Amino acid sequence: MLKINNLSSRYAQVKVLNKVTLKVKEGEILGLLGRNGAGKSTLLKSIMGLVEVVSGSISLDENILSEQQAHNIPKYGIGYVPQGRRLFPELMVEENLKMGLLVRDSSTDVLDWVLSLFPLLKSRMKQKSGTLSGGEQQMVATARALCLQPKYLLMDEPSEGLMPSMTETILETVEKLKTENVGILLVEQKIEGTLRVSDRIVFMENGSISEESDPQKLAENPESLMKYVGVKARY
Amino acid sequence: MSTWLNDNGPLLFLALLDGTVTAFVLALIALGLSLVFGVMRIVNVAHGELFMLGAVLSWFAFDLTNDPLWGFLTALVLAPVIVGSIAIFSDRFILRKISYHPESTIVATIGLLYVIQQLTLMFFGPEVRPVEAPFYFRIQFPWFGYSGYKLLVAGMSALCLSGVWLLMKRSKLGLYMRATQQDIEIAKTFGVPTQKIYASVFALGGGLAALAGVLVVPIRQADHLMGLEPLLLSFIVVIIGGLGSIRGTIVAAFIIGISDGIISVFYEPTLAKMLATLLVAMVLVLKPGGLYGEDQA
Ligand SMILES: Nc1ncnc2c1ncn2[C@@H]1O[C@H](COP(=O)(O)OP(=O)(O)O)[C@@H](O)[C@H]1O
Ligand SMILES: [Mg+2]
Repeated sequence: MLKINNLSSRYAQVKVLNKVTLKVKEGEILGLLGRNGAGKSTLLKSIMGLVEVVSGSISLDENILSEQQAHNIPKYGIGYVPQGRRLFPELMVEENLKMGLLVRDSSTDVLDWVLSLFPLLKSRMKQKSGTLSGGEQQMVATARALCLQPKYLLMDEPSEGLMPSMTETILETVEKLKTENVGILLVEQKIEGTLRVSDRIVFMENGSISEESDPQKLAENPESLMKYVGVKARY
Repeated sequence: MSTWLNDNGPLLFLALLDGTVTAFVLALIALGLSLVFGVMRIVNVAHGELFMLGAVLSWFAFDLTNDPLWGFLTALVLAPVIVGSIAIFSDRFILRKISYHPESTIVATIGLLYVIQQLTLMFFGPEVRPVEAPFYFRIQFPWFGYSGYKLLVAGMSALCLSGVWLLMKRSKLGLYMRATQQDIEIAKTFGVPTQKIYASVFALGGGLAALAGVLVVPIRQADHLMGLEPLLLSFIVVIIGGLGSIRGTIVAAFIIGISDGIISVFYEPTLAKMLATLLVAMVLVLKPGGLYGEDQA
């Protein structure tokens, strides 16, 4: 289980997260919703060791990640799909995927599995990743993280700026990963898809978790959606 | 035209040979500077001093062994190792302490320049010291004989450049260096120990400069002030080629080296330097990113 316990963290002088507590189980999809600036990305970066933790802890099973240096964290099996994709733009697709494979010395079987999820990438392997379309880049960003065979996958707004059909592909991938027992922390702005695939939903506001719910409840009782993300979900 | 070639052909050939040797050595020095800037985003003003240390260490090895060949071989191994260690030490205790902040690192490496230069002056003295070439043979062309050692210098430099190219393109370390260069934060989230990568890049940059110093010293002697000119020329090469690009660095080193050879032989060295400076100004105005920008290929 991936546990975030009473976590507060900050950038230099700016405190952003305030006592966040959260759990993601294996094979569970947790949707994390909240307005811009709520601290969603900061939470994911804190898990990856990129933001200074002031107090509280992050642990995976019996390992305390918040005591580790950033570069050791992915080795425990945590894959990160950052907001805005952030591929290594001058590296070929192949080399971006290699970065994922090297984290835990994954075999080429893993690469085959990842490419079976994104068959389109097979024909793009030698292309500089910075020259791909937005949708293709998102596939590479997801594929790169999957190459380290993650037990948990942190996805930060994977559908941002993509066509609906691409968003659909990503959601399908998320559902497939669930059947492989990967735990997923999914940060999204697109409410409907998130409600469809998630097992649970948490809302963030001003650096704190303000409410926990599940898609069922939210469907019957959409006030929270109005309150924390300012939209009405349509069914 | 043909009479000009008849009269000046041999001289032109000599200029091209000299220019090629200069170009290869310059490429080696500038590549170190360029890698350090590319990956670590810092301008190492002390880079020329690392070259100077290579040359001076080579003189020590020559003096110690009292044998040009053994001295050369010893220096070839030891100088890059010693200078690389100094670089790792500087990275750990100076650059890391100031968080690689761009402006602070310029000031800090200027400090490092003076420390290395003055320490060398203290231990080595102000003399200009010649070092014998490891062997002596001349390659006889129809018009003149040419130093075999100079050609060896060009060949070994070419070998090192290819080595660095392979390292960057084919090895895990090289992949990690390029990934760190492009996005250090994301590199960390893929298990790259970026601190160690920085140390390795700084050591590699220093090692290349030192190696160039060892190669060059039998041609141009050793003294504690010899770091300045290669530093300036490296800056010129790196600005023209585009910071952080291996290909750009090598192409620019050839433009500068060959034109320096030709102009120095037919006119005078000062003019060559003036034209190089003019070329930099032109590149800065017309293509501020350099010929090869950040393609880092
Ligand atoms: N690098 C940074 N330095 C300082 N403050 C930052 C930095 N990144 C984000 N913040 C601040 O942290 C808060 C949360 O940002 P973020 O986690 O990106 O929100 P979200 O992902 O929910 O939109 C915002 O107020 C933002 O301005
Ligand atoms: Mg965000």
